[in-house]
Amino acid sequence: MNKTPVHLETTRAWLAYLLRALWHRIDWDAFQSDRRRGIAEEMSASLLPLAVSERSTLGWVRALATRFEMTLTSGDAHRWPASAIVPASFLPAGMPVDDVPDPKLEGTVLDDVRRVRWDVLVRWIDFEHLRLLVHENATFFVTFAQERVDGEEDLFEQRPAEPASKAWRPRLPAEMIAPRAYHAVWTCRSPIAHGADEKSGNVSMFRRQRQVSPIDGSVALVPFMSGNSVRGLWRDMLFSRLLGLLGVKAVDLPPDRVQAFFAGGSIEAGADTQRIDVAARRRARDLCPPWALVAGCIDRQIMSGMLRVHDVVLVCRENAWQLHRVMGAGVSYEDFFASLKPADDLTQLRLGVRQVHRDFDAADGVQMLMNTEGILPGSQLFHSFGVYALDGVPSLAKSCLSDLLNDFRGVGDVGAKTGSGPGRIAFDAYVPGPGADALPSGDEYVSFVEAHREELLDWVRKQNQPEPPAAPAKPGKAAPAGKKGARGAAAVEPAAAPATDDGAF
Amino acid sequence: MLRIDVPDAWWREHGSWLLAAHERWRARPEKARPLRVRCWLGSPLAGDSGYTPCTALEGALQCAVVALETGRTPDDVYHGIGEGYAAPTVPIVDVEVGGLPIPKSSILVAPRIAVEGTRWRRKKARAELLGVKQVLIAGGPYKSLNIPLWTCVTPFVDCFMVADEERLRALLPHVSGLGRDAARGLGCVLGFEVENIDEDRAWRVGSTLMRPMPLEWDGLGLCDPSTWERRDTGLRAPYWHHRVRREAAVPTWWRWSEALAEAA
Repeated sequence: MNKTPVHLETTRAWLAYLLRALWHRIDWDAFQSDRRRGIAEEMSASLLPLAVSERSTLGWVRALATRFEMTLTSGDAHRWPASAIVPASFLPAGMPVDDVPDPKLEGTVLDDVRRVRWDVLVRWIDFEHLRLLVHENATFFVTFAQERVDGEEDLFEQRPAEPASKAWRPRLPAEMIAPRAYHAVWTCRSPIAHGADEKSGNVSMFRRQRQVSPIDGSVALVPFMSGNSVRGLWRDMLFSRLLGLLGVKAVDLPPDRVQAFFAGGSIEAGADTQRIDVAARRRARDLCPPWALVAGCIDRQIMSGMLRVHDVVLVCRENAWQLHRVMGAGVSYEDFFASLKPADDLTQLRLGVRQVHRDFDAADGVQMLMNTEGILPGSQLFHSFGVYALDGVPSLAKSCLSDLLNDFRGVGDVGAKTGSGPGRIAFDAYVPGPGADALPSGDEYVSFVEAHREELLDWVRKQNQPEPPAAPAKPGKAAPAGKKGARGAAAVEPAAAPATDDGAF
Repeated sequence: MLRIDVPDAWWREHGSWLLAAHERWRARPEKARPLRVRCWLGSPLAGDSGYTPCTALEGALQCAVVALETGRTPDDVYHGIGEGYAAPTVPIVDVEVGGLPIPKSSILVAPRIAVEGTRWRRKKARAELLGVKQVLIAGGPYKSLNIPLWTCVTPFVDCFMVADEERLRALLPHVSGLGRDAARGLGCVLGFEVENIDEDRAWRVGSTLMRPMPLEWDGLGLCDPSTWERRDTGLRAPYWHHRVRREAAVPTWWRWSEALAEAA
């Protein structure tokens, strides 16, 4: 078979016509009426999970046919193996096709369409393309499969593969000025789950994002864990640890404080605009090192944290170009790339069952099967973080960070479903990258909390707090009389004329 | 250094470090040269489409200067300045156009292989810790969120500028993230490559507009109108600041297309 590179848009058309061929091979009598009515939705929800759980287009079609009772071969029910009727303009030279007889004029064939057997199309459909396409919109293909409409060919763009003259020139990072950061390589001791952006029926997919390779310009969907999720986990650990050191429970604190500590707070109307409370900001940052690191909105002040938590990167071929510099020292890029597995070989679906205990009188609900996609145990994940302006960060905040990392390493849980097995990781201590100093011990932070226990307790409980300044009056209005601590009109600085320093530009 | 309507009280507290930073970080005329700064990225870059198509490097450099000079975050330092403007100086050359100093620095340009993406940012209230009988998470102060952000998915972006290379190189190690949500993983910088180039590409490449420019700029007539639109935008970092917002010419593109790449 003489295959030439195919554009994604061409694959889109082939896949759509293939699925239509398969749709017409469903044995509808095999389903009960309830399932029959929902088969299109079920198929829409399962195209992506099947693409993730299988390793080839051939495997994907086999899994689809099995689940939806499709007959692929000829036999009693069908004279032909499953075949797609595809517009001739979508078919390249070299693809084995058959003519389609004209039903209206015996002995003649239709000029504009050809019959292509499913096993031929499967060989031509690039599996990476298939994964990208069903990820983009699986429902499109099921809708297309269900019914033919006039002019449907126009749904697909026909683009030739990119000519060699315009091919992407490979690029790799060379000598770089790297930001100061700390990194660690996590090894998965159990499957790791991290929910995808969308639901896929009863399958919880692993979160993926598009990534573009600087080597060949290709786009792939690669599993990752967001920096936001790790930051959220670390936020929980930071404040659980603080409250533990102080000997208080979160449920005994004012709810808005708890919301600020564990979810970053809430931006209420007028937050950060009506009232500038510099003292409250400094108190929060200086008194509470965990707050200095992750911050949020507290006492109506919107504050940014000093911690920069990066995404967690799966150690796989698709990420080789960005990991080689850190993990592949002394090894050529080609050898490092070859030593890694493709991302989709590093995930698997895990079946879960929710049993109904019918032997108990009070049992209710239904039995449920669910699948969770997880990163395989033994796989590795690369994680890094930075600290905003490392040189300027107080050593107390760095000590708090060190305490957190010890805690995190001891717990060793990330991601979802950690209560039922997944999420166990192991890693060596985070290593400072170029230009970054080793973090100090966590002792300074623990001693600080001990020494400032009463002050911290007041702060977390919102007790004995200094009165916040009043909102500045609007221009042209006097400050409200008799308000405690009001800076009123005096707080509005007189507007100066636009000024620039000499020699600045 | 541009200073507009800065309250005296704020200036008394912060003026000294801003002036020191100006001396330490301004572009020295004899050292300024056209550069291409390639920013290698480990994660998608969140866009600031309200101001520039993608985002720009100047704001990140300003944050680094604030951090190095004060040890505090910009929001802490600039609280109290009200509506005044007093951004720190960075090693990029400024040229006055239409009464405003405009940095000789392009937007961050993605290569033609870049694609668009979406990052969902999740926030979840810890209802079980709140110590109340019922928590409404569909609205109000404890609302849980799932917010989509437009992202540019690319292995690198390029910024063309005229800058003091030595000072720029000293500042870049302190820039760990670009664009929105850099604290949460987006726009993660793997590293920067700084390269000398022959031609100044900061404002215009061929007939392609390379950054938001005042309408008074002479070079605008040489730019292909299909590469820009006229709208309200910031003209220097921080781009959201209303003191530097004007109706201006804003690039409508964020990655090299075939046509733009050929023009370049």
